[in-house]
Amino acid sequence: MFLWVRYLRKKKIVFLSIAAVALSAALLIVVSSLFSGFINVFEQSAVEAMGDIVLEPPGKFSKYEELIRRLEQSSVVEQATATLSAQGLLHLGKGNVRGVEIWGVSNLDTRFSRLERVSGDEHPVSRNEQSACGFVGIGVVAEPDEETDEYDFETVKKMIGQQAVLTTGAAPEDKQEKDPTSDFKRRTVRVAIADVVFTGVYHLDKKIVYLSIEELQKVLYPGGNEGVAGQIQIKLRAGTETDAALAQIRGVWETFAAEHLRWEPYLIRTTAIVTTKQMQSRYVAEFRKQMGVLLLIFGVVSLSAVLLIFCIFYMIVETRQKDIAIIKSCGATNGSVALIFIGFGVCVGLVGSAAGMILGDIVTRNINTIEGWIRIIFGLKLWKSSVYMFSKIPNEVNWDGALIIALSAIIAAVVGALIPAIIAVRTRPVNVLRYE
Amino acid sequence: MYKIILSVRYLLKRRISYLAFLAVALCVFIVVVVMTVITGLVRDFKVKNHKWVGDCVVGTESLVGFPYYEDFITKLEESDIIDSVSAVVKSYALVKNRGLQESLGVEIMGIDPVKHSKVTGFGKTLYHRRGDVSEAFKPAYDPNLVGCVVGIDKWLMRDTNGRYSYEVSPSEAALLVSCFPLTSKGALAKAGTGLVNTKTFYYSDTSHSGLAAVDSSFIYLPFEEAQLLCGMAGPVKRISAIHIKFKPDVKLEKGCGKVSTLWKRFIEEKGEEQAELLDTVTVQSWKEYRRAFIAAMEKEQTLLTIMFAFVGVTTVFIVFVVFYMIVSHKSKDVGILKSIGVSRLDIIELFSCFAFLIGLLGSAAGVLAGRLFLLKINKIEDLLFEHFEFQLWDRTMYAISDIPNAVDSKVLVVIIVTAIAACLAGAFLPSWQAAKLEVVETLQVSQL
Amino acid sequence: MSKDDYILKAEGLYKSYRMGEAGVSVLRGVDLAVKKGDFVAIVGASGSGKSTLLHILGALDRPDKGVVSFEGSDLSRVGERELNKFRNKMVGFVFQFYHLLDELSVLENVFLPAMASKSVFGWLGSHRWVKSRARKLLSELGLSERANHKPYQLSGGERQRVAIGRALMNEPRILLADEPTGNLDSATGNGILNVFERLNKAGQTIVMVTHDERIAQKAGRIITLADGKIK
Repeated sequence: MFLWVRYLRKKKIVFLSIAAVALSAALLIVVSSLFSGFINVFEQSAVEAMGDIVLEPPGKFSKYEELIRRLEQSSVVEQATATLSAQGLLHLGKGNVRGVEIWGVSNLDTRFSRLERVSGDEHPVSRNEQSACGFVGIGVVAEPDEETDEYDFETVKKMIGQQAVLTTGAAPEDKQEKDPTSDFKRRTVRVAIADVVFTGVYHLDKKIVYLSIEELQKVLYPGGNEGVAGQIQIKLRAGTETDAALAQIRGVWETFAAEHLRWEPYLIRTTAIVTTKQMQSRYVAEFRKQMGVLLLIFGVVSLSAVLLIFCIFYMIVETRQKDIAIIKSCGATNGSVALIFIGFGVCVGLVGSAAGMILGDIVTRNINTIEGWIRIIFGLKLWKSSVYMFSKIPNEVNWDGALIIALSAIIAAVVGALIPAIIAVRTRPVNVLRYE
Repeated sequence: MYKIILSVRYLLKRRISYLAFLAVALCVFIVVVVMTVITGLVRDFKVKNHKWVGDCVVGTESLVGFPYYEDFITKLEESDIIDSVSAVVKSYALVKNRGLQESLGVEIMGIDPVKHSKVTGFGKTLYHRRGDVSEAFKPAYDPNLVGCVVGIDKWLMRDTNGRYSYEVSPSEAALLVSCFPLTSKGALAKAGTGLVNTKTFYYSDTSHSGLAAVDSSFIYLPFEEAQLLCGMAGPVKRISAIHIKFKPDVKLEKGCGKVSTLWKRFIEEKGEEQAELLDTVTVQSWKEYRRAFIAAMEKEQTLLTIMFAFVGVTTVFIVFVVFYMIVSHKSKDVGILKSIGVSRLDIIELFSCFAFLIGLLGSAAGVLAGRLFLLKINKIEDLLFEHFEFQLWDRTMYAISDIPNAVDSKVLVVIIVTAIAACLAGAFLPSWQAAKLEVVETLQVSQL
Repeated sequence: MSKDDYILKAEGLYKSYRMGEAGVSVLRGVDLAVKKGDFVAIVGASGSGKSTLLHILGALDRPDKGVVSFEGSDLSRVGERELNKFRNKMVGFVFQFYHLLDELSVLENVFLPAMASKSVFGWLGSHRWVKSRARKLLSELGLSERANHKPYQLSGGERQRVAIGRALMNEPRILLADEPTGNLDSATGNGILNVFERLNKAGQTIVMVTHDERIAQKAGRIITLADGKIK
């Protein structure tokens, strides 16, 4: 065994097989990590924007403060906020009109961290009587550079404090409309841009204007006495089991809707109470499918590593038949001969997959830097937020996936060494050691 | 001649050669299938964009628009390269459908449907009024009403086969469209009086251009109505763009160049009149006009091409190892050939011939398998969906109908040439090492 | 004897090899001259350098010092291309272990040297003649029925006769044989020697290396090599 290890260590081509295993493993780990990272960021961004659970009845409802109080009293809810949304048009200045989504939120002052606010401020916005105050997504007021896909923050900062005109509208809930123009007025409001936000999520940054829920209620339902909400966003306490939380929240909602809103049971039952992950599940399933297809293709290509190991060990067995015959003639058993090759296959797999994991980790963690280099050297901007939803490529290694890939690499290496091992075992000393 | 004979014999007799052959075939198969699908998707996407835009666009990004378009259209129509033109008004609007509580943000495009259908493929995107585009804005249920055409994804749902459940005749629906009218300076035209223009249009038809971004966000309105909504119908009328179709024998770059020259001359004639609006106008080919969208698709194609270049590298790897093995076994043969006067170059040529044969036959097999697979790819997907509910692209989410499966000969040639080159590259080092072998070393007893 | 009578001449040949750290001197000043029509046997013990000498004479190896001339031309001054031509046309080699190509048939192995020297078009123009000559050689060597067999289907003696046929294909000026009977039993070996005798009688110049004195007796001239020198 000692002699063989010395011999095989000297064969440069054995290192080729280690390199092949390492490269294949690294490629699969990078692909799996990038996709998993993307899916995680996709789900996480939804959770950060909308909380863990979203409660959305079929129509707008009032007395939401009472519902929030009840929810926050329960053992599963850490915090609940009400939101109201509408579509609108925003006029930002000379000829500059954008289609936007308006989110009325009850936690406007604390919703964004200092890092997310372009002003770098974290203080509550100061309000005035003349105009509503709002935050706008950075993509509403500026376009990223076509080459670098980055925003010019200095120019964007100049928008803070500017006045804009927002138009929206909604029909009152209890009106039956025969003529859609009657009782439906466009609501227009002047908005002071209190700050610009950059969350790194393209859709949020491109489309959304944030007002306080009270401001939006005034715009949409002027003259209304009670505040109206369209959705409750719920953050669960740490360690809460999701299914139990959903059941408890539904219980709270049903009681509230029956007692305070006096809604029909049908409306109460059809209220959507889902996790934000469930809301994204269709898209996530699609991403996972694409990941699966890509991993399958690359996996098939990586089978070449198995082939490589097979070829190399086969060659070694063929050229060293005499040595194998001599060892056997000295009394070595078939098992020990097979173990030499299978053992070395395991070593190749172990070393190769370890190297692959290290390489995969390095590439994944530095993927944004690598993408930057590619842009500088080749002038090719591979990752654009408008296409891939996020400003930065997610760069967390998926260690679960990496371990599975590493294990597969070891098994593949052993499989590659199996047939040569069998050939070595079947070598008959007398056939080989006889002269031609 | 002996090189060809020996190459063929090595291929047939050495079982390890089959591995190289299979590896090349498999890699070529994968690349052919993936590249055909991606190239097909990009090509279809470009064709759809071209059909939606026409050949050339003279327009501005500014929602204020530009004036004197009638004069310029006259000049265009006098030119011998122009087939047809269509003036277009574009802006953002809010739309409310009766029965829904909320408004939706949309993009509106004001067009003359007949003129626009001559320049673009608009007429063919309609459903109910496909036969008579002039009736596009006249709802079948009441032609006296002012109609609108809605992007299909705003109106209908796709099923899992990617098909829409069209209505037999258009349902009666009123849509309230509101827009910010802007002055020629870009200010709000109705300051102090509600600030928006609102008008009711009646659903007349859907438009299916095949472009997801367009079909999910556009509503087409009669040209004059759109001008009024956007505040462009004042004493000096304005529009957003002129879409142009060239005559069939006019090359795109040449045509756009001529239009550009015409425009430059036109604004020189106009002098200082509304110069700031005319200065924002650009002349672009359809490729430039839609480059943001097309570039995204092309980038996907580039990314995938790069990723599958690794497949090519893998082929080189495998061929290298197989040849290393074969040459190690064939060192005796090399010695014999050299002893009868075969040169080093001949030895390299021999193994290169062998590599070429593997590359050629492997890529032929891969191409054949790829073509067969592509021929049946949609049926295979249907079967997978029927039995395992697996669909490569969820048709309710992606604006794809059938998976493209037309093999591009140019792409095929590139793949085959690359496969052969990869084989030659993989075989080079072992061949060179074989050629360097000294006869006396290879023909010693210990080499047996 | 004039210079023109000598077909092959070696003067002051030295050759050594590295075996790990040490160097081994195999030839230490060998002079040899072979005339046209000679049948020379070079005899020596195992490791005496006789195979090395034969390889140098056939331009398969280069000496460290000394000159080998073929028909008056110094082989050390000849380029790679000319050497290949020399090995193809002027010399025929017969090895102890036959060294046939396993993928080619017996007939193809015999006409291999002719095929190697022709381009594809040259081959298309002359293949009939080449195959006819190869069949004639096989017939003379008693292997007509084996023309389409593969080497592994032949006995040792038959394989050696195929190797001789290959060596004679291009009508070489000189046949060099390295222990041609070393791997054969005595009866078969005698058969091979008879072939050599017949060829020599027909005018073929032969230089044969052997460790067996009895086999060497069949040659017209015996040269003994010991400790790298000719005795």
